[in-house]
Amino acid sequence: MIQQLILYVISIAAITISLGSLLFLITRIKKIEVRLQFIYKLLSMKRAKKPGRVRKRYIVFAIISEHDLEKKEVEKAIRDTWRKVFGELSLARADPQLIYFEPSIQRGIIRVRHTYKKDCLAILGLIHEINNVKCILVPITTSGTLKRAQKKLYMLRRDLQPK
Amino acid sequence: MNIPLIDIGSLCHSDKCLETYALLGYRAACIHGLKHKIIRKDGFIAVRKSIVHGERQKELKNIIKEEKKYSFIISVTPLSIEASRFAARDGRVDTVVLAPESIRYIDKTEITMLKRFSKPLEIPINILMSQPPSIKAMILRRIDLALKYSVPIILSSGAEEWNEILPPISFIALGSIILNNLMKEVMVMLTNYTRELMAKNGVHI
Repeated sequence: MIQQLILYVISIAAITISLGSLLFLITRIKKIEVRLQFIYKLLSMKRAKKPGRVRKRYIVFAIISEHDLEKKEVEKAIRDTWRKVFGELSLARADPQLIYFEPSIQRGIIRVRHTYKKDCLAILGLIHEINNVKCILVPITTSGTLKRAQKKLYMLRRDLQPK
Repeated sequence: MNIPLIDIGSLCHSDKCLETYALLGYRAACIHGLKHKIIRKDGFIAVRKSIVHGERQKELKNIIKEEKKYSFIISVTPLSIEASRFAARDGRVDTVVLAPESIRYIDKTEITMLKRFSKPLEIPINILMSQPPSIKAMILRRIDLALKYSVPIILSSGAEEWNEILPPISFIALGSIILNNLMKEVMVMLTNYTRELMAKNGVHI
């Protein structure tokens, strides 16, 4: 009789505890949902992109001018125009360098960071005068390697070469 | 890369200029002050264009009537609200030029009118690049408005001498930077819209 009573009391206690926990869960469910969503967002959030490998582009260009120009003059003109149009910081990031210049055919290769290729093409078009010599800088082609750029320097658009 | 580009607005009409256009690979150019109505040379076509400045509608009407006889393309630089509205709705006007003197008269209403009459807005690049930053900002605001309302925009070099002519790839790259658009879309602006304009006026390329 006493055993039955004890079992009865225990079962009632178990039921009340489970009901209580269920009620607790129901009242807290919204808060738990919000916390779970927050954890899910944290897990799925994209991390800030790491700066990738610095890739270069080699832009081959030809000069149409009244007189022959020197390498230093051309490089200075490119840097000055870049600074004037896009600013000092863009110039530092892009770092355009005239790495190869062939004075006999008035052609050269500019090395520039790959993200600034479009800017470099625009800048070449905006140069109209170098040291009071009227000129046009015509981009011929863009390459990913210096070797291929040098090959194209002598091959493409021979009609632009000075006669 | 050979791009069949058309320069819709140039002021350079010497032989050296025409040679340079052909050398750089342009297909055609509309030149203000050209001696002949049309010049064909080694696959390159130069067409006479008139840029009309005006304040009054009556004055503009008379000038356009005269100029249309001798020129294929007519562009208007409006110098008043009246002139800008007239330029937007007149069928003989091909483009409305966005220059520092006309900037105050190209407002939201004008842009909606340009859209309604599907008239392109011409932007001379050399004028844009030579302006002080405050004017440049005003021009760029108008460009953004035109892009928002999807008004056709045409870029022109506005070259006065042979060395001011932009190489086609530089032209596209610069246009892409100015319009904050893809290079492909800018190429469409510089080839298709201009070709349509020329075909409309009877010049077949």
